[in-house]
Amino acid sequence: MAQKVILLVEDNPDDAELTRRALKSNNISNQVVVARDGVEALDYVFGTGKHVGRDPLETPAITLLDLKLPKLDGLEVLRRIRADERTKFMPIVILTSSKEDQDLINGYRLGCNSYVRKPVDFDEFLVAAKQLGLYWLLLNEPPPM
Amino acid sequence: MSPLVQGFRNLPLRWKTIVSMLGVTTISLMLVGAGQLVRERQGFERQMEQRLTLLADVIGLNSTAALAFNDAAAATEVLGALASDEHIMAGALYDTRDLLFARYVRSDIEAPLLDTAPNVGRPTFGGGMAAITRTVKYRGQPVGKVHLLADTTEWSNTLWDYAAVAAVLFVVVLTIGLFVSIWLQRLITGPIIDLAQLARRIGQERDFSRRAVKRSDDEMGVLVDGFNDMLDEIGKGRAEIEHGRDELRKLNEQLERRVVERTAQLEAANKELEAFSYSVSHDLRAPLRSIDGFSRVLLDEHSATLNADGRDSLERVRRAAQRMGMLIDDLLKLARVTRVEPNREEVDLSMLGREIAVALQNQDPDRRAQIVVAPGLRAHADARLLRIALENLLGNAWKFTGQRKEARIELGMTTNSAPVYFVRDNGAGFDMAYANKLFAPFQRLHSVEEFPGTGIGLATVQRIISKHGGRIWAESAVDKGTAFFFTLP
Repeated sequence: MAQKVILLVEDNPDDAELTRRALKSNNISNQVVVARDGVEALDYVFGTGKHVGRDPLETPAITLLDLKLPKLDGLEVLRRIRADERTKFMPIVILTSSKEDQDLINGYRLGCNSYVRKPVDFDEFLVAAKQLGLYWLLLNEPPPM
Repeated sequence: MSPLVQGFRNLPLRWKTIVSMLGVTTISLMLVGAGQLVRERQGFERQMEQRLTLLADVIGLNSTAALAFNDAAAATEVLGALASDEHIMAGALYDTRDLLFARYVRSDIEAPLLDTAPNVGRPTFGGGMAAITRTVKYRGQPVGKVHLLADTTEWSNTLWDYAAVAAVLFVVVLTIGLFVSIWLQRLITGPIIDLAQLARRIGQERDFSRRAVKRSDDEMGVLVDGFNDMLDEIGKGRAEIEHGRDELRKLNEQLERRVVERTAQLEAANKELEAFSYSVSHDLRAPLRSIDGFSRVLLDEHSATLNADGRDSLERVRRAAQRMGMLIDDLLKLARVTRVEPNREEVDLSMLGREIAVALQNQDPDRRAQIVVAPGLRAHADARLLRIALENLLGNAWKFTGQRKEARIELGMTTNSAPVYFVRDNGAGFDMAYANKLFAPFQRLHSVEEFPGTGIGLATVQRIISKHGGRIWAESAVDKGTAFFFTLP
C-alpha cells in the first residue's frame, strides 16, 4: 500500500521548508504536498484546478493547515472541507503562529482535530513535528473510506 | 374661629361685599328704628304722666271739700267729670285711712279698683293701662288720695303702626341697599374678580402673553400695573429658561454625537489594535522561526564547515531569536489582559495555587522547593485572569528562589478590614529603592544572565489586579526574599 501523503497548507516558504525538514529529521518519509494558499489547498483536496483528476476520496493522512493564508484563509478552507461528505472526516491539524482565543474557538467550532502552535524555538518545533507524525501517522486510526 | 366667620372668609369677594353692605344697612336700620321706638315711648309716657298728674291734682283740688266733709256724693260728682276724657277708664278717691271713698268707672268696662289706696308715686304703665295715685292736701294737710286709671291701648296701637311703617321702610331701604351694593360691588370688586380670573387662567393655560386691562387710576390701577409688570418679568424669565433649555438640548445632542463618534473611533482603534496584535502574533514570529530554524539547520547539517566561533555565533543568533519570541508572546499576553473585561465568579484560589505549583514542579523536576498554599482561599474574580496573575507571581517566586537550597514559597491571606492575599518567597529579593520600577513593562531588577525574563510579567499582574479594582504592592530586601500583596475587592 502506497504511503499516504501529508498535505501542508503553508504560504511561507521558510516555514514550509522547516516543516518539511522537521518531518524528515524525525524519519517521517511520507510525501509532503505543499499548498501555497487556500484555493490551492481546496483544489488538491477536491481534485479541481491544477489538481484536476485527483480522487478526493484519497484523503491525506494528515493535513497541516495554517490559518493566515492568501486568497482563502485557513478557517474557510476547514469549513469547506468539513462541509463536503467526501472529506468531512479527514484529519486536520491547525498549525499556526496564532494563539488568539478567537482562532482557537473558531478552529475547534469548525471541526479541526487538533490545534498546534508553531514555536519560535526550532528545537521545540522538531519535538512537535515528531509527536505529530507519531500520533497521526502511526497511532491514530483514520476513518474508513 | 367659628364656622360662620370661616364661611364668610371663603365667600367669593362679590358676595362678601354684598353681605357686608346689607349687614351694615340692616344693623343701622334696626338701631335707628329701635331708638325711634324707645324715644316715642318715652315721649308718650312723659306726656301721659303730665296729663295724669295734672288731672289727678285737679280732681284732688276739687275733692278737698267733699273729703273734708265726708261728702261722698259730692266726691262722686267730682269724679264724674272724668267721663269727658275718653282715655280715663276709672278714678277713685280714698280717705285718710286709705279706704275707698268714691269711685268712677267708665260705663263700657269693668275697671279693677282696689278697696285700699295704692302707694303714692309716679305713674305706672302695664297691661294696656297707666295708673297714678296722688295725695290730696288741704292747707298742707293730707285729706285723702286720688287714684286714676288711663287706657293706653290706643297708644300701643299707634306704636305698632309705627313699627309696621318702619318694617316696610326697612324692606324698601334694604332692597335699594341691595341694588346699590350690587352696583358698588361691580364697580369695586369687578376689576379684582377680573384680575383673579385672569390669574387663574394664566395659571391653567401657562399663557404669559395675556395682560390685565387697566380701567381706573386708583389702587386697582396700581395693582393691574404691578400685575402686568410681573407678567412681563415672568415672560422674560421664561424666555430665558426656554433659551437655556434649548442651549442645553443642543449641547446634549452635541455631546451625544461626540460620544457616538468617540465610541466609533474607540471601537475602530480597538479593532486596529486587535488586528495589530493578531498580525504581531502571526507575522512577527514567522521570521524569527526562520532565523532560529535555519540556524539550527546550519548547526546540524553544516557543522563540519563551521569552526567553534561560527557555532557560538549561531547559538547567539538562536538565543536572540528565541528571546524575541518570548518578548512577543509576553507583550501579546499583556495586550490581551488590557483588552478583556473581568468576568467575575467565585474562584478557589487555593486550588488554582496548587495546580500552578504542580505545573512548576513538573517543568523543573530536579528543583526542590516547598510550596505552601493556605487552604480555603476564595475570591470573587475572573478565573482566567487570576490564573495568569498567580502564574506570574508564583513563577517569579519559583525563579527567584532558584539559588536557595531550601526554597520556600507561600500563597496565603491576611485579613485586616478586607482580605489581602500574598505570595511570599525566601528568594533573591530586591532593593526597595527600585520598587517603583517593579510594575512598569520591560523593567527588570536583575540581569538576564542572573534570572531570565522579559520584564512584562509583573506589569501584566498589576493590570489584572487593577482591572479588578484592587491594589498590588511588594515588600522585599536583598537576599531576604520578597512578598507581593494584592487585594481583590
